[in-house]
Amino acid sequence: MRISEHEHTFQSFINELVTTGIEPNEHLRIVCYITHHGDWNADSPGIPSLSSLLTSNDVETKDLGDIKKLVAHYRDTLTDRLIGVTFFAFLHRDSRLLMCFTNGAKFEVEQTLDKIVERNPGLYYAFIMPSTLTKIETMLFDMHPSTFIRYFSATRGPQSSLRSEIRPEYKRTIEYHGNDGKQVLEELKYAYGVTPRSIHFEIPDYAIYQVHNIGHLTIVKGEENAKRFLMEIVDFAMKDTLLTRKIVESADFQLIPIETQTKVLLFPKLKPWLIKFSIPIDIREGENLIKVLEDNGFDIFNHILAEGSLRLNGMITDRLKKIIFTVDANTERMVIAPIREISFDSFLRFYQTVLENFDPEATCEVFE
Amino acid sequence: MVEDFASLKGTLAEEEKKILDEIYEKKTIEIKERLQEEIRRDNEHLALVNLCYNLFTKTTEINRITGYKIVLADPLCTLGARNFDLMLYNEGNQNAILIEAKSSVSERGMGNMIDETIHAANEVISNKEKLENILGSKMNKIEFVILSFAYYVNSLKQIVGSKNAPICLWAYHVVPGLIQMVKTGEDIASEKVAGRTHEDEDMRQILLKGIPTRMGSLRSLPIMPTSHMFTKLEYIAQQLFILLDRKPQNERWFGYSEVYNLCKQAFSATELDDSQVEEETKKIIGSAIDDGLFRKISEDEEISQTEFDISYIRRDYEKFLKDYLERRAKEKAFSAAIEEFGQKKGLKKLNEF
Repeated sequence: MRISEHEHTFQSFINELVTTGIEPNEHLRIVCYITHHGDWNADSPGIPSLSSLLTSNDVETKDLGDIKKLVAHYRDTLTDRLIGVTFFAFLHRDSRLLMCFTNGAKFEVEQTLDKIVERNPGLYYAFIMPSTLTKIETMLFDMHPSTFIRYFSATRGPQSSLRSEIRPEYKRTIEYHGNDGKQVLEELKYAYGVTPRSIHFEIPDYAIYQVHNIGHLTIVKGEENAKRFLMEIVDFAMKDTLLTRKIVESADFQLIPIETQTKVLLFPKLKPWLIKFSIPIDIREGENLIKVLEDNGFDIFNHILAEGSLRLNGMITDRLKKIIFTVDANTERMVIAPIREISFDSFLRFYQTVLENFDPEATCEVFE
Repeated sequence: MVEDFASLKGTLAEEEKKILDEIYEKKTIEIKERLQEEIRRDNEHLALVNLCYNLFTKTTEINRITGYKIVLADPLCTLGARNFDLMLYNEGNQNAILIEAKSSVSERGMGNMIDETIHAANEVISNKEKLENILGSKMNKIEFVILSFAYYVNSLKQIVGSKNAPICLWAYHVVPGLIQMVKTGEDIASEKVAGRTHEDEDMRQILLKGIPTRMGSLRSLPIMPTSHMFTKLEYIAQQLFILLDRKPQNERWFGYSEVYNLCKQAFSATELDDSQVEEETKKIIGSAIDDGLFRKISEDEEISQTEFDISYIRRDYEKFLKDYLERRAKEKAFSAAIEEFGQKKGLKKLNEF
């Protein structure tokens, strides 16, 4: 990527990027994250500023107006050399969406920025839900009827509640290469109950786009217009992701003071958000859900799991995001609320875990 | 007790030693199962308390309609009593409601449980002034409630009637998720006098219709002073894991003040004063040391100056429950085994061996 190192507005940066910024044989990857702060230098208790988080993780930063140039490093295991990966980052103040533009490989993003995001508070992958992935697919096929899917990867966890005709108890990952990907994906969804994580679309004589559900969107071939269209796909995908963020951010924790003769008592008042399951769940699925959560770094404790009409409630520690919250599930829904500290990123990680491993069609809602 | 057990064993013939060992093993398993059940019940109880708490927090819809709100959790804990989990108060009519959550009660134990609640209710009435002092407001009438699962409440209804107990019964219907008051008689005026329905019209109507428990048992109150020690240890340990995780690698230890702050936060809706929270903190730390959860990394006579870390690494933490049950059960199994062995031999006391 060749971007001139002077002050940019977002628009001037995009113009340069799509015209002269990328060599014809280079790919452009947009890696999206959602952040707590809409400003690089803003911080709050327990959540450091993005600037200080990057610096403390040895990411070099340079201001280029609205854009920040980032150089993150990882150690190559073969040569033991430190390799730098360059990103041009734009933080949208209102939506608090962080877009990082790079020509780095997927594994290089995973070795650098993704690692920071996974284990630190205040930011998370702009996770693209299975339903949004389907919407992107429909949008591309509507706009360009000649589109075909040339590759996808899809997974199923053994605890998934999605119907699977063949051996539903198996954990599986299916990767498929072939221009009939669209049909095969539908067939495999039905037969093996898998959910796509990554899809590569080809629009003949126009572009190849790769959409990965952890918020990585890439163009590997295409002219200026096709590169600009990648930005539209990002906008389209992020609309749902930001809506999900808004929903989990509707959760709240307050302490209501009530004065007695001797002291001021503080009464916790919780406002949850909710996940609606796509099919009713029973005790066995409740056990599966606990297993899924434990396998993904969520420890459930002081909890009840009772049969009859399912009751599952208690406390959860998110080991990665280092936060505790509380949940209550019945056959139809689960409500989730913060205990003292509020962490949208932990809630997103929780929702992602439920979608990817338990119920890919579960929806999230504001608790009214 | 370990010494008593060892010395008793020393006096026995081989065959009898074998019998004693078998009794001991059996007792250990029994006690472990009982402890596990106690912990499960404690969590069930906490879930039921929170179910009710979440309905009556200030500014909820029910609070707006009825004027009742939660004003104390574990309301009698400073009076040294364990009965009643929540206290509601209505500033308009100055009536209070004390709620006892019962997550499980055996058919046989129901009569005793009602007797105990009647006794506790009488105690409350004779200590009304103390409660008024705590609250800082006058109380016109105090009403008493037992909240339990609908299937228990049906049986309780008969007993409350036959004992003429001044207790309102609230039934939790898991499906569709509703708390509903049970009518114990048709004549409202006499039921009011008997204390088996609520004086306040709005409250009575809304409870007879049933209040949907949409927030379920989200743990607004994660632990209470009267919670089981294991429940407290579990909560405090998980909080400490987070606290330690956030510290730099070379500062991953904690002290008394950190545990104290966690207790103070957890008990913020109770009337415990600072010295009572201190006492509670010391109990929790003492138990955590005895149960092998906390490990001292500095020796100091004063507990408040001692530094600790958690003995279990995160991924092995599940072992704590197993170890806790094992340790506690073993302690109790020694005396239970001696007693049963004595009974088998027709002896009553240890010194008779």
